Amino acid sequence: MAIGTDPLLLLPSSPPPPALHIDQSRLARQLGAASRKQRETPTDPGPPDQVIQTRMAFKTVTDYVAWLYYQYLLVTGIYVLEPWEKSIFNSILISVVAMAVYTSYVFVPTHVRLALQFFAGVFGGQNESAMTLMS
Amino acid sequence: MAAIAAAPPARQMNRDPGKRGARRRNGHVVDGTRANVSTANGPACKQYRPESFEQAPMYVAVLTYLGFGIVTLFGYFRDFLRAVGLEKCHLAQEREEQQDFVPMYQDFENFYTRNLYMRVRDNWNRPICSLPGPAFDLMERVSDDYNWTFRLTGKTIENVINMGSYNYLGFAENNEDFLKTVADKTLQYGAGVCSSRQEVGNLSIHEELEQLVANFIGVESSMTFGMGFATNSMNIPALVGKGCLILSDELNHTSLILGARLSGATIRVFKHNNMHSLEKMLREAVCTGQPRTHRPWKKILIMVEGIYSMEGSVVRLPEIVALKKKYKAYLYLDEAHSIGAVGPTGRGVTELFQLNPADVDVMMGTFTKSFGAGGGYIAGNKKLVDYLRSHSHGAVYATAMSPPVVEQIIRAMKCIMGVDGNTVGIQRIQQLAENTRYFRARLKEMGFIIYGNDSSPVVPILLYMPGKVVAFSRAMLQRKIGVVVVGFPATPITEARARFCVSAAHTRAMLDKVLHHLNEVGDDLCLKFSRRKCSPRPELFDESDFELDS
Repeated sequence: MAIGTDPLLLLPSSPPPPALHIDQSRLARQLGAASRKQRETPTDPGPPDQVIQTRMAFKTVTDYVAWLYYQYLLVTGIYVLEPWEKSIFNSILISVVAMAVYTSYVFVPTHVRLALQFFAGVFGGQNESAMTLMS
Repeated sequence: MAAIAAAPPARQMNRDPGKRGARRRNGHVVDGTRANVSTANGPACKQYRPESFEQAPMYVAVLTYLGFGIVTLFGYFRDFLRAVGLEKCHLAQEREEQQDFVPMYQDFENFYTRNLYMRVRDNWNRPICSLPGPAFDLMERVSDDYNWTFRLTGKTIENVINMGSYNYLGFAENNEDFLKTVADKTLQYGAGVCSSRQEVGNLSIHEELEQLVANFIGVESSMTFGMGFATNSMNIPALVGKGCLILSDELNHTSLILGARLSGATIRVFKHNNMHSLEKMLREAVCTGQPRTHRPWKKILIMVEGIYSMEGSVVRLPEIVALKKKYKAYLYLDEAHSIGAVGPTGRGVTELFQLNPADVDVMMGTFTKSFGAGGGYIAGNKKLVDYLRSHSHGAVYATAMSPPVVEQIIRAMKCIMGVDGNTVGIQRIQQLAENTRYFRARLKEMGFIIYGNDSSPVVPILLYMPGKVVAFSRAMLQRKIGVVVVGFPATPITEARARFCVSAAHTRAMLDKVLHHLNEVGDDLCLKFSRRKCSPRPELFDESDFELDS
């Protein structure tokens, strides 16, 4: 397996990394302005006309999701590991997240209902005792 | 623009000692010394370009630690598999008979090398098959077993832009006309000297070089050595010994640290470029003396560098010279990266700050970076250099510098000085300054975090996370730009960076291409962490960034 190419290309069903769409005319104007400024005032580049802006163009949603997966690999450091280690880490992470989701699905409604009952009981009890005192 | 001052700083500095002397007679210093130090360098301080060391947002540090943590866990897992035998161990192992001995190879110290560096080591030590000028050719290599072994495919990646070589003035060239004198001298003197300077190795070309170096820097005399690292590590022990104090900057190079350790002197480290920390240590050293006996120190030597290559920061030389004069210490200045690269005529940081070179006691530098050769020099007083000629290990035992290398340095230095009236040298220096300013300004405007002084040709871009460091290097190589990335042992663990070295040989088109690709890769990998709005006003150094009881 050849190393030295982007691992994203080695994934079985992932598209190549998304191409960046740079506003070519704007960039050319920007660079032209910068070099013109350089020739006029050779001592200081000076502030630019506009900040260079690039928009990342994703052709499909799949491209975007692939880019997000790439960011996840980079940020967690998984990018440097071998594919089977990546699979291990991903499975552990997915199972932990799945367990968390399942637990919240099963228990959160019951907990919320009980909490609401508790607080309703507290306020309802106060109203009743106030009423009895007054009458 | 950088070095033109309204009034020479020497006059300013001489005015204050009189005042300080009067105050000291009372036995009590009014105002504190901090105010004195900063006002003692009026115009020089104002022209000192401010440096920025912007901090990344907190989440970046958290994610960096997270990345290292996860890879460390997997490192333990793989070590376990290797120990149990489920996985083949590619590293050296002891023989069967020695299994019960104290382990020699699989030590914990190599944990980082084994489990992180080996996985990604295709980003370092890439084989080059051409001259490392502004562009070079790389030999393509692939690995079949995740970077444990490599094999060359036979293809060459051509015209990769070189942003990693210390080729500041572009003297790493193979132009026949420029190298004619080098070829002639090789025919005259041969390639090797086969002796040390003290025996039969002192050639007339060495004397010529030393005279030229002394003229170039503006001091009385100088001495050259065959290796830059050895210049530091072998000469510091000759200058200081037991009973002396060395005050060394936090980020000094390994050669300086090794020389200091070999000398046997007491070493104290002050915070990087922090004059309050240095002054506090000087006061304490002068008042308290040696640790147990309280005798005064025989010598106090302040060791600093001109440009620090990992940060790109420039030393605050006027303030250090003022401090050294006040506390009667000696100054050792290592101009490895700054000689030839800064200053209006390339004379280094003394010229950048318009100081008298005689103020620096020991000036050291190397010929590796700006002169396209190899070796180092020590320059200063004639008495100092004559002393070193007989007492330094490098002078007595090391082989003398090879004649073609000497001639290369001579021709490069003559070119910079403009000896025959040609302007090639000064044009290169100006081109380097222009390239540096342009490159740094564009990078800041794009939103990268950059360290260092605006006039330093070394530009570190902070990448922080280990995964991004590796992805950055590979992505730039795919786009045919060769960069150097530096990670944990050489930098703090959260501050991994890519270090760009701007060269006078880079054309504007090359820099634009590099910047364009940097922009794309920066967006692709989300590397633009800077939260600073691009403003033409410079940022000021935060004077309050200092702990009093460190």
